[in-house]
Parts: sequence; C-alpha cells; structure tokens
Amino acid sequence: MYFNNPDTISTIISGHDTLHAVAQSGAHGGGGGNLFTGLLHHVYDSNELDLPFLGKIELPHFQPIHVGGLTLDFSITKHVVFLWVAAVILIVFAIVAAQKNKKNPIPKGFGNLVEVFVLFIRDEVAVPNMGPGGVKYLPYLLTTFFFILIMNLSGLVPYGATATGNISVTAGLAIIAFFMIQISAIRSQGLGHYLKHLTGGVHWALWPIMIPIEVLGLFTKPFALMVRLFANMIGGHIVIVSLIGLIFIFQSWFIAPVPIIFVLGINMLELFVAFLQAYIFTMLTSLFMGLGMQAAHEDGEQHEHGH
Amino acid sequence: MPGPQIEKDEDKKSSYFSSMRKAGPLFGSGVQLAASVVIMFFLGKWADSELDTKPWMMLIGIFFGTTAGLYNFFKTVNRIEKGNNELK
Repeated sequence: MYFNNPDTISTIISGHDTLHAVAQSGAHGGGGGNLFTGLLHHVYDSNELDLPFLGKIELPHFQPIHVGGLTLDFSITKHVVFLWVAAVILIVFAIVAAQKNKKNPIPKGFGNLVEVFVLFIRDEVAVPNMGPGGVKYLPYLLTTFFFILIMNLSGLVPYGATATGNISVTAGLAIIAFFMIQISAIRSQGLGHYLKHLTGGVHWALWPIMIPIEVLGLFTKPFALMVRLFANMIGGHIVIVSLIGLIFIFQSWFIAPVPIIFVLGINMLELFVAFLQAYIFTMLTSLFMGLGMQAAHEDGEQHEHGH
Repeated sequence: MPGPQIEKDEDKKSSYFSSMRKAGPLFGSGVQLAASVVIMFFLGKWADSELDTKPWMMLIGIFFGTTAGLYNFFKTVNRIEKGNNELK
C-alpha cells in the first residue's frame, strides 16, 4: 500500500516532488509505477520520442554551446519535434486549403472549414481591434492562431506532446508578439511620435521616472501572454496526470471508473481550452497592436480639436 | 421560426466576442501587475550580485516595479472607463 511506505511519506512531507514520489511508490507496489512514470513523461519535455507500435526513440543529444556566459543547449527534444510537426502540418493544410478555395468559387469541405477560422480572425479579431489598417497584419495573426492551435491540439492526440506546455516555446511566441506590437506602433505613429508616447505626456522633469515605467509596461504585456498560454496548457495536463495518478495511489481496480470519468471531462475542457487559448493569444496580440495604432489616431483627433 | 432564431444566435455570438474584446485588457492586467514586480525584483537581485550592493538594488527594484505595475494597471482601467463613458 502506498501509505504504508514510510519513505514515500517522508518524501512528501519534506516537500520533494510529490508526483515522482507517487511514481516510486507505485514501482514498489507493482508494475503500475512504471506506467505512472511514463504518464508523467508525457507532460514534461524529454529526450525520448514515443511512437505507436515502435516503442521509444532516443532523440539526438548535442553538446551545450557557450555563447558569452550563456549556455545554450540545442538538443532536439520531444517538444522540438512536435513544434516542427505542427509547423509542417500548418504549411501543408494552409496550402491545401488555399488551393481548394482557389479552384472552387464557393468553398466547401476542408477549404470551407479553414475559411471559417480565417474569416473569424479577420472580422472578429483583427478589424474590430485594429481598424481597417489591421488587415495587413492578418498573415501574422493567422499564422499565430493556427500554429498555437495545432500545437495545443497535438497534446490531446495519443503519443503526442504539447509544445506550448514548454515555457521556452511560449516565450518565443511572446518575443515575436512583442516585436510585432512595437513595429505596428512605429509604422502607424512614426518613430518620433512613438518615442514621445513613451514619455506619457508629462513634464520633461519627470521623464527619468516616466520613461522606465512606460518601457517596463511594454515588456509586461508579452510576459503576461507567455505565462497565460504556458500555464493553461501545462495545467490541464497536470490535472489529468494527477487524476489518473489516483488509481495508482489507491492501488485498486474499483476506484478506476471515477478518475476515468473526471479525466474524460477534463479532456473535453482541454479541447475547448486549446481553441480558447489560441484565440485569446491572437486577440490580445491584436488588441495591443491596435492600442499602439489607435494612439496615433486619438492624438490626431485631439490635434484637430485644438485648432 | 428558424429565421429570427438564427439572427438571435448571431447577435449572441457577436456580443460574446465583443465583450471578450472589452474584457481583453483586464485579462492581462493582473498578471502584468505581478510581472512588473517580479521582473524588477529579479533585475535588482541580478544587479546586486553584479555590483555587490546587497540588498539595495533589489529593494529599489521592488519599489520601482510596484510603482510601474500600479501605474500601468490604473492606466488600463482608466482607458476602459473612458471607453465606457463614450458609449453612454
């Protein structure tokens, strides 16, 4: 029994990794522990790739590279593989949908499905947030939306992994969003106006305080995007692993149906969250881009009122 | 009566997404407030280890991060308030 094992209890009380402790106790009790450890590895990044019927494949491991005090590890991990898979799927289905819609004036089937999403992003996300000028940033928004969506969904496929459940991936997406927000603001306001906006419109004596505050505000927005996407994706998976882990904690067949029902419910929720988080990331990026673009517009209006 | 029902659903859908748009800045505001404190705390801690001024840079960082976080938070809230007043 799990609770009769003094080692495990002391491990949990002393605050070590509880899930690993549970996994180890399962290993003491029988063959179930290996299964649980395997489940846990589906959540985190690892150097092994699971394939149906073929077993595990060791992914190439490179020596870390040292660049100016930083240690960069370019090893190909499971999340990297699924990032590439998502990119390939995205390219293939976008090209197929575009070709299909080019042939038929009335889109149907797969082309229609993709067009629904494209029109949704254009009419409900890009144009209301950024105005008609937002249409030229549509390629970026659509790429972000579909890329995040495919990465989120790939975690729900058997043998899959969620690349967005890795903070480095969401950090990369957030860095791109940061540059897009600044570039769209600079392009619509002009560089001088953009820099003037960083002063917050206060007296020049307050600039040394105001400029760092405004600059910090620029960085916290993508930071919030990064944390939200990462936490939502990893959170759902950890809940599922914990619920399945209940079976191994109780070491009983009879408890199994209860976690299974809950896991099914959480899986449905995750399916919804995968779409919702892709939408929210895209929506907030376009909202922040729109704020920079509206700033030029509002000041222009004030200028007109002044004269 | 399928016609009006569909229209109603359309209205519901677009009002859902327009309220999501309005609520959008608030989704981020909490994390942004926390983020500016945490980012400045770690910057201050890093500066302490580089300049050997423990704990002053960290304290300045926390103070500055809190100020900046609150300023940006109120800026977001005020912008929404302004938008609501324009609608009335």
